[in-house]
Amino acid sequence: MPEAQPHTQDKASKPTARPSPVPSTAQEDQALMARIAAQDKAALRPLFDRYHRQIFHYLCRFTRDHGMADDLANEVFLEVWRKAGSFQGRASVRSWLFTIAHNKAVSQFRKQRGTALDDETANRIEDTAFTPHETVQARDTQRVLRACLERLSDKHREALELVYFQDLPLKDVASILAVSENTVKTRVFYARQKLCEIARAQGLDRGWP
Amino acid sequence: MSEEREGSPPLTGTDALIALLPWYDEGGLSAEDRLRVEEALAQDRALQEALTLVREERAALATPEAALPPAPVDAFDRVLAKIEADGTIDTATTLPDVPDRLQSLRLAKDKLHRWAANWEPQHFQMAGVAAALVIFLQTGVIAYLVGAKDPMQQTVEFETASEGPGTNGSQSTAFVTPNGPPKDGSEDAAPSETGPAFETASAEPGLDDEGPRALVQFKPETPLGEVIDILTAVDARIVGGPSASGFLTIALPPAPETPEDREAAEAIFAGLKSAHPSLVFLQRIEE
Repeated sequence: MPEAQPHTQDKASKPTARPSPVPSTAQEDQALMARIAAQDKAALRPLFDRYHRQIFHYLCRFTRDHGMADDLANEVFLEVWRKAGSFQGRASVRSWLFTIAHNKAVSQFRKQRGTALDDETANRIEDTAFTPHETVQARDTQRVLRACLERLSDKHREALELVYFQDLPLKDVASILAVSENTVKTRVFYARQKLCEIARAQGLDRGWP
Repeated sequence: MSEEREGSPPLTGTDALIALLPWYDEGGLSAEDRLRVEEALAQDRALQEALTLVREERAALATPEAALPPAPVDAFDRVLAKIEADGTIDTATTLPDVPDRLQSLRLAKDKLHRWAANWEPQHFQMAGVAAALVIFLQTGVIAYLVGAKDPMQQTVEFETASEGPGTNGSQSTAFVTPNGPPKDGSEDAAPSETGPAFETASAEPGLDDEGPRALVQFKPETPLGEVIDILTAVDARIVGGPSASGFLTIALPPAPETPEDREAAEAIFAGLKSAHPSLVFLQRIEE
């Protein structure tokens, strides 16, 4: 186990390059949604500008297919246009968008599994084996962990994506994945454990679990 | 080793606290969970080490922006193009075979949906001023269904909640008109913080071609658009309520002339409640 650090809220220790949510308020988003529900196309643009990149990148990482991510991200905003009237404000607009994106990606995977795309499907199943090239490349902790993330199952990888990349609150992740908060906590816990196990197999022992 | 099974028991002890750590730095925990973590962190060195691992993962797994593919620059244009295409389909493809009056009704309903959305995401509430507004909207649809040309520009009728159903002749009738609702999608005004302004209108002759009446109640959280859809589906017209308990009295269209049509109408009415879970009560009022 690495040496313990004092627990602080030191934001400086956090990565600076990761995408941060565009500043917005729930009230602004709700107002935009109301206008979109009233078929005001002008209101769609600011919402699109605010969230499209986040949704697109989430789908890129989830699907590992930029073309598919592009198509699905556009479908997300088409869905917003068509279903804005049914948005009831129980979750944030941002969480609602991620919920739509999650459902569309899952639906797309299911469609593909019903076709002959077995190879692609197989690639999405957890795979702990590194290629020799990857082993050579993964020289430091960050690289190893990033490589390990790609070896997680879709379910575990998406859970970590929503927490670590999108900084979504626990309750929002539960809403997006349509599971209980306890299930989210358990899923993320085991995803992290699996990540550590894969890393250990590559020579990076992080002392947990 | 790292096994997650659906329905597995919740984590306990230190594991339960470790499971909360990914949300600790970002403020994604409830106040109660955050307090639990803070208290444990103050005295549990293992938990402090676990938090260090979480921060290490967060730093490692965050993909630098430059490493992510840029979002396509024409993405929004493609969304708009699809919306336009959908609009063409809605108005040009699905409507030509519909009789003129129904076609107009559908457009009127769409307009009402857009207009009603100015009050979203507030839910359909069966009380007070909001209820009067809802009644206006709903009867606006129905008034149109029975012949008015544009529910957005017509005075419409409703009975006050204190009036019992089926009390023709003794009911007090009020008329309301909206002030300046949006005319179309591109010109829709931003939602008003105070809602629409209303003015009373002088009485006009009521609609006397009503059929049997029924008592209905929707779940309080039912979106207004859904209420409109359900009532429009059976050409119903609100003539009373809401009561303190949220009941509305609706007038159904006169019974069709032919036995076959009457049977079809009965079947639609009978299946209405099971088809719409938000409709929690529906009962015909015996004459």
